[in-house]
Amino acid sequence: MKLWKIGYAVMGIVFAAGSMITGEYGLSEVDREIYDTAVSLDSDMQNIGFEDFSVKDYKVRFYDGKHDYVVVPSDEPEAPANVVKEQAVLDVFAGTTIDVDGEYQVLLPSYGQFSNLFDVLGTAETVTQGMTEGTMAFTEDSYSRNSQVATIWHEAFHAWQYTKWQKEIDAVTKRMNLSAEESREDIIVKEVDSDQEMVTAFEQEMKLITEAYEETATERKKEKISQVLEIAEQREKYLSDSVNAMEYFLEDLEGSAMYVESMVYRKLEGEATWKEYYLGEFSYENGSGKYYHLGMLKSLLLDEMLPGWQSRFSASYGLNKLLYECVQE
Amino acid sequence: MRVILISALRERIRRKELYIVVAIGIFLILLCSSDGTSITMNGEPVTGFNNMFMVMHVLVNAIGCILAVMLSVKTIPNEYERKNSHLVWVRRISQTAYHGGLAAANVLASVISVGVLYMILAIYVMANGYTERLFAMLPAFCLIAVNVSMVSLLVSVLSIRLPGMAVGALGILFAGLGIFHGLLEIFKSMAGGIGGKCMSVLLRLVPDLHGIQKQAYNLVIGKQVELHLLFIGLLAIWIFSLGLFVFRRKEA
Repeated sequence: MKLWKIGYAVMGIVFAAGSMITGEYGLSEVDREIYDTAVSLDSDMQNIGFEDFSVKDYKVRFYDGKHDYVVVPSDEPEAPANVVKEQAVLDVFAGTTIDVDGEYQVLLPSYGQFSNLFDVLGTAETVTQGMTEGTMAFTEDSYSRNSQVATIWHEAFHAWQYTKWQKEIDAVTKRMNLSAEESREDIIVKEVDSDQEMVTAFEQEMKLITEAYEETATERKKEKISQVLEIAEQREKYLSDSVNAMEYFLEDLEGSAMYVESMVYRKLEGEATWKEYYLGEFSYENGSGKYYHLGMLKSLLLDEMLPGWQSRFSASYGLNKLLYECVQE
Repeated sequence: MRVILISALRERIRRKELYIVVAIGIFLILLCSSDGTSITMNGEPVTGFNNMFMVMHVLVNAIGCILAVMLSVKTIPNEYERKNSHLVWVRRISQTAYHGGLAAANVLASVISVGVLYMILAIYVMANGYTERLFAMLPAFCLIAVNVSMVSLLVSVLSIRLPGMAVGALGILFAGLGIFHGLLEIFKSMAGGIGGKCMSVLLRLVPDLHGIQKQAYNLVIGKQVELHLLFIGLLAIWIFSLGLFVFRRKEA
């Protein structure tokens, strides 16, 4: 055999071996670090006050575009979590809470998948993904590893909500009266976003809740909260029961999850970055995103006005009821 | 084989499309680099050296891959059309050596063309005062050359047996899937269903040309480089080169 043929064969072997050696198999180191960071915040997050809420109670599935790498928390307090490769339960790019054989689990794309998204076309690292029915939306302009940690907490909070208040949430979902023809997003755009009166009322509510949060004098805060509740009540009377159920779901359940998410982000990134990210200037956009922010702001306001509100908050006793307690006192 | 390569390369240099596409490429790059141009992504203006350089880098890779298809698609069929092949066969040169020489000329012409575009990029880097990055641009260019070689070699090999139109279409499809690999991966994940599955199969067959380009960019700006994609690219080139041994023409 001629020497070049041997060289040619060796080259093929080197390239094949190189591909295999440098390839990443299993859960990536980055995802593992992200999960470990999320778990390391457990005691801090328990101090916030949601009863028995721990990220360690839920399995986290990292979807890499082909499979799910499921992180199974260990029963032993200090033992590392196990990682199991499983068939993808939802072969789509989504961050959500999913019922797997009667157990709520967190599902999110691996960080590598996110990097792909941001690197698409290799341009500026900005993205605003539209809200998707039933999934959490990634609306941050720059999705860092810490954002992914915060997302794990957001989705774990939903898993906690569903485990704790399944019946109440089912009742709210039933009231939504959704059909295959029209999604929640479609209905919100049609019933709320296309109605100028409702848009103005929402903007006003958002403006007042922001002012109430920024206000330092307690009495002024209460005045603002009263005005907020008045607008909320008027909106509720004006809208249909199904839209009210949707708004309640998004503002209270998603909003409180965003509050949890933002608390994690605040812990990891510090006050200034947290404010920039979560308390930036509000601009009205069609769809669900605005309700997340409204719910989060109400939760932050409750932190100041009604310490310990977390232990009384539930799917049937929402943020507005708690705010009402503040102005009644 | 060297003689075949040199004479085929000379012909590439004579052909007008090489200059036209390179000129268009240079024009686009200069357009991007001019102060008056504002490129936006998701409504956000892309500004700053790193972002602009990234856009131009993507552009050079894309133009390079398309150029590789254009330069490689007709070389081998033309040789047979002009009956040049007979002149080679009478000298008892094997088909592998003959096709190999022509394919190597295609690869070389494509790499030289993308090299011209990369030099414009280097001038842009220098003009912006980032002279220290020029050293990293040489190995980065080698990564882009892997992409271009891959496309050129595949098209050359396919052109041994398939008609020109089919080869051109397959080449553009291959380059398109590779350049938009990242975007299509996301699309696949978002789409789900049968469309998602089909996309998944296609993406497994085509190496991530965008990913390799991204590693070249990372190299220039001093970020960590993933070698895996480079090895996949080199392995793909090696696999495509096997076609030179496998595919034969009856006319010979």
